[in-house]
Amino acid sequence: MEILPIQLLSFDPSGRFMAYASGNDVLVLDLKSNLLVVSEDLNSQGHSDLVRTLSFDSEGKFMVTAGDDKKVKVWDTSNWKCVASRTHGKKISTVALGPLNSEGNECKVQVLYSDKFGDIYGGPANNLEKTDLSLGHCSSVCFMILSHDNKYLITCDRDEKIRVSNYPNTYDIESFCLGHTSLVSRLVIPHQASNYLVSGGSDGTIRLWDYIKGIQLQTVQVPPGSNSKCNVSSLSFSGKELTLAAVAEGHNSVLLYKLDVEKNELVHFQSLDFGGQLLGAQFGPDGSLYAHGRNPAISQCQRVGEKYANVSLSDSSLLSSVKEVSKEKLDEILKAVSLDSFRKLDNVEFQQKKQKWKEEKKEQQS
Amino acid sequence: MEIRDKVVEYVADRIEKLREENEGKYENIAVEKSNAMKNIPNYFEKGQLSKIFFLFPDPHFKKSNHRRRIISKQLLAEYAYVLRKGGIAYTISDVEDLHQWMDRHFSEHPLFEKLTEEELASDPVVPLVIASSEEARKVDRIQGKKYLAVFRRK
Repeated sequence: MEILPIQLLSFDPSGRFMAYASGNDVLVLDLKSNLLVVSEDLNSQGHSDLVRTLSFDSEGKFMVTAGDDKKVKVWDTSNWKCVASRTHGKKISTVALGPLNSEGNECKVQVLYSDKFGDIYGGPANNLEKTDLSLGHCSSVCFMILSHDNKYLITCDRDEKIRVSNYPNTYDIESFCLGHTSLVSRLVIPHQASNYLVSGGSDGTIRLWDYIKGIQLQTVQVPPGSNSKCNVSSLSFSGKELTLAAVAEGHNSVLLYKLDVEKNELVHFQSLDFGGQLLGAQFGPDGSLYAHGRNPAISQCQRVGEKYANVSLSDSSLLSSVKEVSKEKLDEILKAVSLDSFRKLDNVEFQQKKQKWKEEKKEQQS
Repeated sequence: MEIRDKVVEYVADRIEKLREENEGKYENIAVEKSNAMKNIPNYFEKGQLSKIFFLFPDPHFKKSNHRRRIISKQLLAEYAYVLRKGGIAYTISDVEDLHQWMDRHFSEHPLFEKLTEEELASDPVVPLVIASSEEARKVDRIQGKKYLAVFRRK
């Protein structure tokens, strides 16, 4: 039996809760009491397949989760009850929560979710019975975020595009940030410098943009000094200072960059070793960095002088909340979590796959 | 922007011929092998175009193929992006169902408004849209009906 990894981690805006996903489970840690939230809904009404995306709205009222079971679920953060659930026709790749202009007592928060076709639907957070098509890419949408002032919805796809649409009038495109040479997997906007966008992709680069104008300011190869194309699986900015934490698949160190606003560039200053299989790293409300993955499930890092250092999480309730599965199941999950499963195959890979299909067909016929 | 290889070759040959036979003319037309549905933002900047033409597009009759139609709610946002304010989108089809589909989608899109009859009458491009393309002449030969709908980018 092997332990499952923690593939997603996020904090609610008030900093009270840390929500994380391990396999099909969504768990919430109350950071004040340091105990796991006990919720019947989270246990019984959770997801039946890999959870791919998790997000909070800017007020911290709702949390939305979605994934391979094609379900979008909205959770009320005051009591962790599931207030809405919708089964979509396809697997959900990414979700976001944004303000909704509604009258009177109606819900003021909207859930946006995207599927493999690249269509993004939206509906009020407390009732997902009726959802509208908000916008669409011609290709699978990998990630989406709202700008901090909620004026723009930024979406990125498998066709190397980053689209900046106005919000809530998403039919009105503001700009495109074009430059990535492969699927764009992650987006993040720093709190203290909200005119910048940082994106990461499967071309092994992190790019800095003036996103409203659609101008690329800088391209950084990750990890530093490497020439290979790896997938950027996580990006996070500290709420306390202009520091970016990036994770590249296959490399088990958190890459830390300082954002220099005078020179419009990201400067690498540390590669912090995780010690296990690293899947992502998110900054917490107190400015410390939480790296997550497998063996260890989570590691907390704090700023010591100019650099960050590991301070292991000795929280037993958190570590014991992660389940065990068979090795085959674990391999299946790690493969599914990897961005390789989304990326467009390049010519060589496509020819190899074609060859495989032909051979399989021959076998079936004979 | 054309995705079919053979058609790209054909159009490139036609352009070549036209340039040879008319010295100094036809320099402002080109064909490129690409997927227009995916790559429009790669070729054009915001508000770069003053006119965009959808001439007798493929109707994709089957319901499951409707998402391949060149006019869709999703793509209209991109056409509105490359068209400048006041830019014009011309649509024409000999398939009434497709014409109604295009008309409905453009009309429902907040960034487009339909041109009035007077505006259509005073636009010198309209008669060319109706009659000058090869597809238009083909429709004339079989005596089919043509349905026009023209919109301005607000």
